[in-house]
Amino acid sequence: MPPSEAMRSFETFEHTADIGLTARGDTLEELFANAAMGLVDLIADPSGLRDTSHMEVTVSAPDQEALLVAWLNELLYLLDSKRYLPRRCRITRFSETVLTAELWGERVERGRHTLRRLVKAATYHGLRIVHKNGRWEGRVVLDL
Amino acid sequence: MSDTLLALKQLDAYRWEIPPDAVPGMRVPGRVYADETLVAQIRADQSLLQVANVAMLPGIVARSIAMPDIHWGYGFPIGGVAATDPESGVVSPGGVGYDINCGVRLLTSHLDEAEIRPRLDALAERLFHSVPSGVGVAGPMRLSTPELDDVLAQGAAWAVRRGWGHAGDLRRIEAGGTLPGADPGAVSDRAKTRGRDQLGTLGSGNHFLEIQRVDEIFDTHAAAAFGLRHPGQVTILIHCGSRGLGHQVCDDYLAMSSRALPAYGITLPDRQLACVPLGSKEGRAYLAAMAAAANFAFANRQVITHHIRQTLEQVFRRAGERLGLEIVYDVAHNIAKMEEHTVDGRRRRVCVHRKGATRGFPAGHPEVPDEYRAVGQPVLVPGDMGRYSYVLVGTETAMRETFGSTPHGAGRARSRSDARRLLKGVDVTDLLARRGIILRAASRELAAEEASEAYKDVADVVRASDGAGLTRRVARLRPLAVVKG
Repeated sequence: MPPSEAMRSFETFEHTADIGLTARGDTLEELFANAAMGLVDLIADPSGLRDTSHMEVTVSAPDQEALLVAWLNELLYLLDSKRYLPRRCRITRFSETVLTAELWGERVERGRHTLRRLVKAATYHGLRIVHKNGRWEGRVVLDL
Repeated sequence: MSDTLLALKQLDAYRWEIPPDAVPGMRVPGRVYADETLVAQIRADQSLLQVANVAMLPGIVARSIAMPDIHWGYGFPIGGVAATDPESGVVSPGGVGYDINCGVRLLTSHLDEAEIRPRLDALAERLFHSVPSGVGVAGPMRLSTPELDDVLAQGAAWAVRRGWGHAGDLRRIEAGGTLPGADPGAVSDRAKTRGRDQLGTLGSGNHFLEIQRVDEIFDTHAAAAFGLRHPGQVTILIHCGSRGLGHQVCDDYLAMSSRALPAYGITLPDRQLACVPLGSKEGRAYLAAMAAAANFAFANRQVITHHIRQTLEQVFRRAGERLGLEIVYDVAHNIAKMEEHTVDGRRRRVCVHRKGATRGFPAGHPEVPDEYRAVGQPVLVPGDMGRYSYVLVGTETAMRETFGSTPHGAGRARSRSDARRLLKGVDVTDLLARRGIILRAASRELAAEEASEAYKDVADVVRASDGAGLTRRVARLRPLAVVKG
């Protein structure tokens, strides 16, 4: 049986030109980590990624919702600049406007990894974070 | 969510108006170019609401415009056009979008379908490698910072100077392949880091490289001027943009605009529309960075053209001149440009935002290359990979009504996940092969997401655009082989 909506850590929603990503978590830290995994899942098959390379990143933005956009765009920056995709991540420091995350992943290579599609950016369109049924839920539209 | 409640007044068979009182905050009316069939499709998503939102931008001139291929975007609709006043108006980084100067370039050739058919497989395979595409793929060169700054300042002219193309190429590119006012210093180090090894790469998603044949010529005079001579002639169409460098420029300046909004007293219905006054220091910096990213995209399409020429020379063992791979034209469809237009009988400079719309200047316009001056600027409108694409020409009507803007493509009819669901278990590559089209795509998922079923019929878009008088059909092109990231 597929997990109920409230259980799924991330899923996509319909958008004509692009794609929407919904992520959930018991805490905001978990929501942000799940959003990252949702983004990675769109770009590559995560089961083929190893977690051999460790990184730490810090991201800031003027508010909580913008921080979600900045966080996802930081991961896209790492993909373009270092070919790096995380297999897992942990948010170690978190506030309304700043987060620090530890990433474990590796450099992607065509042939060795199943690559799905490029994501250009996380956008601010329809962006929102809400507390719903006892869990946090974030929605963001990605430009493909 | 649909917006069927939004008031839409039909003006004639191809023109619809969203009255300025339809949504509180609109400063000008919205104008949609479409026929009844397209309007029904357009109403299925939120794109009309986005047309109304754009009408709220400070200093917007005349109207918020939607092309027949309009669909739901982020901030601006895809297929949206807005001109803003240099004094009272704004520039919106989100209005141009992440893929700055995403655009299309068409090449003609002296080859015939019959000649190319036996080697089509090999050619598609070679092009898949010589023009890298997809995730985590580097281009053929890694630029030093001074070199990258030259690319950003000079655009396609940089590539030609390096020997990738000839001087004649530049005349056939919008703005001569170099957007003026570019400042590499306005582009962040992060953006430069992303772009350093991406020159000469296609990207992914709806970007492609397509080998085609001329299918039908509608206007022999204009077609002859564009070098489209007869059905069966081989052409090549390239669709790509400024890659990660452009995406980062947009992201950087969206964040900056977002922070600056309160200082300029601007409130907006969608954060993605974040904008700053054109004359402000933030506005000027964005235009300088955007022009630099646009130049990166022009250089990108020029480097790709060089590799296509080289690959065909190798495959056909024939000198470049005998293959005749000449540029018909290269147009941007995500851009903001300062242009002169007549509004209410008065000549004025405006900043034209084109988000998924093509510039289409008419005959006689000084920015149309000499050899096309008598017929007008070529407008390139790609369809989907299973059907056809069109070459159109700009008109006076577009100049009067849409700031010289025309459609840019078919427009999606189905979301990507919808397309995947519909085509579950279908091998799109095999399906196309049975119709004589070779597809080289990075993944099966991508092939399904980009299948004909995901797109509107571009012929409907062209019919509406021609019907409204924004364009005139010149020729239709059919795909023979498609390379996708």
